[in-house]
Amino acid sequence: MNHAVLIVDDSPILRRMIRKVVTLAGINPANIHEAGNGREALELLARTPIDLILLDLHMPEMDGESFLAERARDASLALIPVAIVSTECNAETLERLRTLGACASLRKPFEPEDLSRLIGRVLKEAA
Amino acid sequence: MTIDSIRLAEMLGDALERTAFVLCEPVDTDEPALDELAAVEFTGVRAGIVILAASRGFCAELAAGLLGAEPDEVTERDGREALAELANMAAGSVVAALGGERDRIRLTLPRPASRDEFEAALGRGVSASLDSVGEPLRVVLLHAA
Repeated sequence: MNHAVLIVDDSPILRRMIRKVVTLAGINPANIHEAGNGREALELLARTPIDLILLDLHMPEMDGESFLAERARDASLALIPVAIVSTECNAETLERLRTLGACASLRKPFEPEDLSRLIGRVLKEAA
Repeated sequence: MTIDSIRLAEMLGDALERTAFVLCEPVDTDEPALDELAAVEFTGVRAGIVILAASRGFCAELAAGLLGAEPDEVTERDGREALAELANMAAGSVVAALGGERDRIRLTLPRPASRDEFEAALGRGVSASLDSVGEPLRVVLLHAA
């Protein structure tokens, strides 16, 4: 697949694990990008076209919810699909994230196949 | 919901198996496994802390499982990062079991824990011990009832 995916997570080893899953989902490794927090993600998005963002919530410097709010204010970013990949389970918080534009969520711990299916589904819906 | 030692071991075993394909058995031991330690706290309607302690061998197994690699292909740093992420997932499962879907309970970022902190919590909290191919992992949950 010719899509570009951005993994936003403060855990380097989880980013590497997710990168493997994204690769197995058919994404060219050269089109997989990483950021350690929301601020780094915004910097990367300013210079790199992205088709899907996989977003952790609990991160230093700029957390996932703040990132989503920034993204929603920027018309050039607001249409990029965002899937939450986090330990967050609070129904009210997840609803708030949906109103900010998150289109899917996957709770940690997850099976790699769950993430692979989510990537395929979100990219298909966005096409 | 009350989390006892059995439930705590189940939560950890589930996270290990689902995400890293690491299979663990609960074991009955007080033997320390304190090469690496990681903690995640939670605050809000319910407050407490989850601390994990594991052997370097366990951390290597975990990191290798996450990355689809062999244990001798990962570094000590990979092992520490893997244990920190496991602490994050375990704390997330604990919070969900304590009513986090309904009540607002926030997790802190994972941080290293000290041996003294672990042993102090051990005497006051719920704990469980697991074993994966001879490599030990211990967990303690301390929270206000």
